[in-house]
Amino acid sequence: MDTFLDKLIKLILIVFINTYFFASSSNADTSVLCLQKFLKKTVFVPGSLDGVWGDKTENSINSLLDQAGMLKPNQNISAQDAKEVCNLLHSSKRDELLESGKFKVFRIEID
Amino acid sequence: MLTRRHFLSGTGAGLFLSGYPVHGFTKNAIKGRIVVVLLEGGMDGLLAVPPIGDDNLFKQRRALVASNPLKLNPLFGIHPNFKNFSSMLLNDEASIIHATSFPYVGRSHFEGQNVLQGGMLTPFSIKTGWLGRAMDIAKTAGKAMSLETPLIIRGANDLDNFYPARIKHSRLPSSETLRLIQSTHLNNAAKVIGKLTKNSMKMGVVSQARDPLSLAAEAGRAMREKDGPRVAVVKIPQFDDHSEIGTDTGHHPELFTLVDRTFGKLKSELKEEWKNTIVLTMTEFGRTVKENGSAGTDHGYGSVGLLAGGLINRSSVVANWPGLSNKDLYEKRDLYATIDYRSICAACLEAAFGLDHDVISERVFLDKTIPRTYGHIFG
Repeated sequence: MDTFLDKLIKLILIVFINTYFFASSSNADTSVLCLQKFLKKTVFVPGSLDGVWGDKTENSINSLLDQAGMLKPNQNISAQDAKEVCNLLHSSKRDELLESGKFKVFRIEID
Repeated sequence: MLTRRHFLSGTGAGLFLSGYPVHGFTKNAIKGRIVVVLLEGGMDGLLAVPPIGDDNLFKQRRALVASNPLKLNPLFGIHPNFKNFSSMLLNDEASIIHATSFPYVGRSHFEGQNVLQGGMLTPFSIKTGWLGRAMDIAKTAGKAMSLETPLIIRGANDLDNFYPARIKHSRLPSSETLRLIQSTHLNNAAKVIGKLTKNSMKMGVVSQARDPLSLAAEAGRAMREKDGPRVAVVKIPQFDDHSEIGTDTGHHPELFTLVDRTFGKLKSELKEEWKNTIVLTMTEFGRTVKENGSAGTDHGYGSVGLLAGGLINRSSVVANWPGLSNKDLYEKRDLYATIDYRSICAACLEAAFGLDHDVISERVFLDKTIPRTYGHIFG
């Protein structure tokens, strides 16, 4: 027979699993997580590795690809491009992108 | 009593020319030229290149930010006294490395200078300099025109250094010695050595050794010759401003002007050879982020490196900016150095001498882990 304390612990566990595991897995995107894990290896840090597309992930991936010369003029990578970019990060361009991502380059914008 | 600061001030400026192609020794003389500008005493990188886009700069430093820095991009500005250098930035022939240092955190001038010239992790652990070792590998280790041979250009091969002084019966060589030295060189190199010899004898060592601009001009004139030296080291001392460092005007800003004019003089005198040249500054450490009670700054860690020359194709500021909030500082007081300046020196050697990065990291810096920054600076 479970004691009141046992029941309470089970309840807390059920709430925790539902809230954090199922909820996050429903929001997490494996392609976004793929991008974030790659960005974590560079100086273009994406924030937390939660598989959720946010401003930090978007800014970081665009900055990295721009610095590496892999963005077309006015191109902006958004959430729907995540899978395609993930494939790029695991293509033959991988080493080049990792090399480029070691240091940040701030261009001169003197008028 | 002789203080450390007075000692550093008294050492004066200096010029060391090396890597003259020597007839019968140097094969296929390299095209590139390297000029190292040694800023002795520890330059304040935050005053030279303020990160004006970082709000913490103004919280940490109330007085020591120039009132009208030239804005380079949303994060960085540059002190207005760097007029020539700013023009070079505009012309895509200069770059800045920020939050950088040699991997030395001891805050001693003597150890710091030894680390940045020796290129090793531990001070006084080697008797040669990183530039000298690179010259050996590039087979450009030739004559050094200097009274002393600074550590940075000492290589495994003995350097044949020569610098005439006026002290009677001491270092003044006989005409026979001069003739022998000139005979080891051909054409322009012989002319340059002859001219340098005459000039230095005429001017005297002391007057010449106290004027970085005329030394830079002399270096530029010598290095533009076909058989001229491939390496020059210009020393500018007196950056150790513990008090009254200055903001818009004052001692550090005056030194910025001197450094800036040195860049300008080198460019104007190198003429066509500027396109094959890289000039880089080096300082033993940065200075504290906060000013002290005497309106100066004390010995710190991270600083800034200034690069210029025709070998650069696109200007930029390269920085893994660590931030300036209290938690971001090294030991809660210094700018963190997030870029190992040895990697910048390695990129300059790659650009000027054409050596492979792996060769430079393994045989010049004896450290395989040095990252390659060539693409970020010269790409």
